[in-house]
Amino acid sequence: MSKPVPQVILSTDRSLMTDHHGKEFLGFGTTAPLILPRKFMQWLFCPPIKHEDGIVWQAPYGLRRIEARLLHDGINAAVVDPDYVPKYIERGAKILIIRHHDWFGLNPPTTTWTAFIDKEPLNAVLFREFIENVCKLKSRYDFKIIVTGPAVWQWLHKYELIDKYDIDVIVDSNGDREEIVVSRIVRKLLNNEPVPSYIKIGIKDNLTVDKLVPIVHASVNGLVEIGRGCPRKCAFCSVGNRPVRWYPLDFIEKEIQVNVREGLDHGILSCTDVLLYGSDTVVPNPDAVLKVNMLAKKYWRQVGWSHCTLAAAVADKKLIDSVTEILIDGEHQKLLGVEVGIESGSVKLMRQHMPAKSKPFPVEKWPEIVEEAFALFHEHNIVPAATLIVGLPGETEDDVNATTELVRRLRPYRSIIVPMFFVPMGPSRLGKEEWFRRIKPYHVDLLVTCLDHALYWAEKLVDEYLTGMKYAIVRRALKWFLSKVREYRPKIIEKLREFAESG
Amino acid sequence: MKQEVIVVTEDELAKVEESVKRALASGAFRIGLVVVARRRSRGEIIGSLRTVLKGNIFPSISLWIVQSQDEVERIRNLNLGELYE
Ligand code: SF4
Repeated sequence: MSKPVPQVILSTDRSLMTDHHGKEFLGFGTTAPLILPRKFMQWLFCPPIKHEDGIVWQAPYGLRRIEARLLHDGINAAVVDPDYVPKYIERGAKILIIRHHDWFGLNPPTTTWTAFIDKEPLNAVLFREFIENVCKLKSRYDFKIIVTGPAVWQWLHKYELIDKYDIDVIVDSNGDREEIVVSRIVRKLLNNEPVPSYIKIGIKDNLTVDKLVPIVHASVNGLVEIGRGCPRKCAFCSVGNRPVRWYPLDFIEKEIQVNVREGLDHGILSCTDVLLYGSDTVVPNPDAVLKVNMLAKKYWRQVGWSHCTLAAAVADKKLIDSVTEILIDGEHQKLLGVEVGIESGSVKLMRQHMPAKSKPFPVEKWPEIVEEAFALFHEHNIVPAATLIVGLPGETEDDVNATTELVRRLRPYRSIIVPMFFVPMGPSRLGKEEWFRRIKPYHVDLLVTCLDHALYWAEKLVDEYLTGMKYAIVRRALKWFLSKVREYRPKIIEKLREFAESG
Repeated sequence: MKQEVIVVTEDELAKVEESVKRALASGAFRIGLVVVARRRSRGEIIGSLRTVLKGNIFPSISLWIVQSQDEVERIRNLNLGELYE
């Protein structure tokens, strides 16, 4: 007997429905404009994921959380490969849930590249093609579309597309209590009850830990969430408005086991700061951090972290010793990748927009903390992919120069530094500010310094990051991609200068 | 949790920001915003409410676009909390 068609299917475009060859850092490439042949970029940064009749092996964690909640609430749901969505709609699926974190390429770092390179970013192209393909079916089949995720505020800027693509419900959850709200909406749609066109979850409606439902199928690269919220509350960040909640170890273990059972021998611990796991302050709780990392290493050969903060690392250097001793075994794992935020080298801007980023240290010490953390990471084989925010409200030439200086001082340390143009992401305290679009000549210096830093380290890291025969072709392709970027470097600088002068 | 329903027509969208502020000040954290619209599309209404929907981090807001008074009444009688629990 064939399986009943799920009433609800969940999907997203190829930029996210992929495991990036098992290497999360390659996912950054999907934000790049189409400077090289599209097929090549797509293959390198977001190859198709394995599936069985369209039911995918790994799927983005956010989709898995919603899927788990729907199944828990008795709704037949499955995550489907984007190429198979039309097939499932033809077979009778009634609701399509789409989740994304950069629908139209409006988030950083996508906006940074597209500001001066006149080409559409790969992720935006893939989403456009996907949704156009899907919405064509609306005239022939009776189904509803729900869009959800932390970046749905982008639809508010592209509201004409809500009509064009006939989107039925938009859930603006910022990833919190999203699964519950989506499940309620789905139930109402299935019962033909009225539903809101837009629903936004305020900060009093956070998900409480007792309401968590563990995922039931593998997430992309084994990513499992270990907590939500952040105590630092940076003004530009929407996550910072949410209270901190750490998930219990037994819950995390269940999600790791799901991934292991479905064949993943590597995974990522995800939250705003892995080094603060189990802490209710801005100082690490070493016992809790070690426990969660030991738990992960018990199951996985390679463990990554989604994010951590530089101040937490400097606040407990011994913890960095102990945790890397657990994770970096020299055999299966030689490096530990993590995203961190530098944001700015200017103490003035840090004080204005994110005074708690440096805690427990005073904000005046921020540039020193950054350097100290990078040195510490380098020594312990932790490779940070760091972000900078260019164009924060109130930024002056001196602020930009301070950041450029800081990036220069970071050159000796293995890392990638990605400048992001300020985007007023909602909902955040800077959500009503203007977008940063026009660079000035002094920004060019910063952008080129970051590019040179990235090229210098990326070329060195390729062999260490993509080891073994399995990665021989990807390694070679990535090297070729980097050589092209190096070849275009003078052109990029010229473009940046023209762009800065025209502003 | 205290809820409040705000009802406006499609020509009164500029009033919404103030009404949301008042509802918040009175302690409401779940706001049902009902827009009676016969002319303007869903996208246009949502776009016009951008500052309300994007900038306010505190309240939970559900936006209902309806055509008739009957539908307004139906939403008034809903327990908005059901959407979140
Ligand atoms: S430290 Fe990171 S996650 Fe926390 S508020 Fe700042 S930017 Fe957001």
